[in-house]
Amino acid sequence: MTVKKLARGLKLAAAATLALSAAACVQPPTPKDYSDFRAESPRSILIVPAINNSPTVEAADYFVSTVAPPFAERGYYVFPSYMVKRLLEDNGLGDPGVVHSADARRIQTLFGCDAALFILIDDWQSEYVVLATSTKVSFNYELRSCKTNEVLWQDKQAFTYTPQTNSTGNIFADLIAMAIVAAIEKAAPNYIPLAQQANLTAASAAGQGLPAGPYRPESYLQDSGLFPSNAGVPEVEPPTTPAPEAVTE
Amino acid sequence: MKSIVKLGAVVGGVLLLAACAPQTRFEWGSYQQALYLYAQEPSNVEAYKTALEDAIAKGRETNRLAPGLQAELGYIYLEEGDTDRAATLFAGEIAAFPESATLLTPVITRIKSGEMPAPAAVPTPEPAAEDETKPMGEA
Repeated sequence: MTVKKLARGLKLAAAATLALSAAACVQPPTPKDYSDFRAESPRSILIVPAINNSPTVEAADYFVSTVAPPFAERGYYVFPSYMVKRLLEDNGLGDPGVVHSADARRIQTLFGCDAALFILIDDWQSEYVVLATSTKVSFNYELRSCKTNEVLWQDKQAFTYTPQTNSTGNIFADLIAMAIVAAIEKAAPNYIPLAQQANLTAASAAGQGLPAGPYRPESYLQDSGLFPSNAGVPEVEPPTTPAPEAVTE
Repeated sequence: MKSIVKLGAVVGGVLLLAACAPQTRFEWGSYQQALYLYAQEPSNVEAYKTALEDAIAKGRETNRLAPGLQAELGYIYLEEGDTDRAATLFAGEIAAFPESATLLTPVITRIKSGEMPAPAAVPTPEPAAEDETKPMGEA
């Protein structure tokens, strides 16, 4: 390999890394409106056991391990999610559908939470299509106030993973390799990294996730630039001259 | 030229790490992996307890004690009938995170009064004299 060729390769590598870093941290264009969220400024979040609408029966049991850390990391007290699940089961509320349809104010009386996070597992499956297995997860998030039952924040995340094989130049060898990789993914689908990625993105994407909570004192109540109230409406400067009708007495 | 390009690659890599490196606010240890295994198979409880204990100890050391972990561990001990450890851990959770008081204070009160909230699987040491005790208060 000539020096020139090597240099070109490295240049490409540098460009690729930069492109990756840009892609990984790209900011969504329109931030959500955080006025309802800001009006309550919840300190604590109760994660209600998720409803599983996917064809994979055990999805909710797997999902529960991935959800508390990313939301707590935003600076909130997140209730012990597995203990919560067990307590609900012990009280005859083992069916997440019943809890989801309940008024969040009733949950407040039991747990003392400021907000409750209701998650639907819309997709959690691995599909085998023509020598490739594609693993998909998709979640719907709704944060409701435990004081008013109003929705404070919503989000949706979907992630797909399809394992890739490197080409050997031999088409038959490649097909066999693809089939093997697809079979492995089908047998032991990589759900957890996808679920972690989805929850992390949901909780922390700028302008889309949750603003910093009280356990992030360095940004708590100071990130209205990233998580604005009245999104889309430009900040209106207060008029310099008093409005004519604002006459005292 | 070559070295500049190489530097570019290194800088790009560092940028990638710096821009997206997860800076965790709390110490989670191997909580996620251990809970994943425990939620599938209850016989993995010992590994789950160890994971929680390690994450709690490390979190205390580094001032990054994660919310919920003491309560999760306390609940396991409660299920196993070790009410003293459970009460200590619940009290620790309330001390670190007052938001948990509504949930955990009634549990501690019941443990202290000898009226242990008995999850179905755990045999109560004393015969349940009055009506069934509920694990959750209606506070």
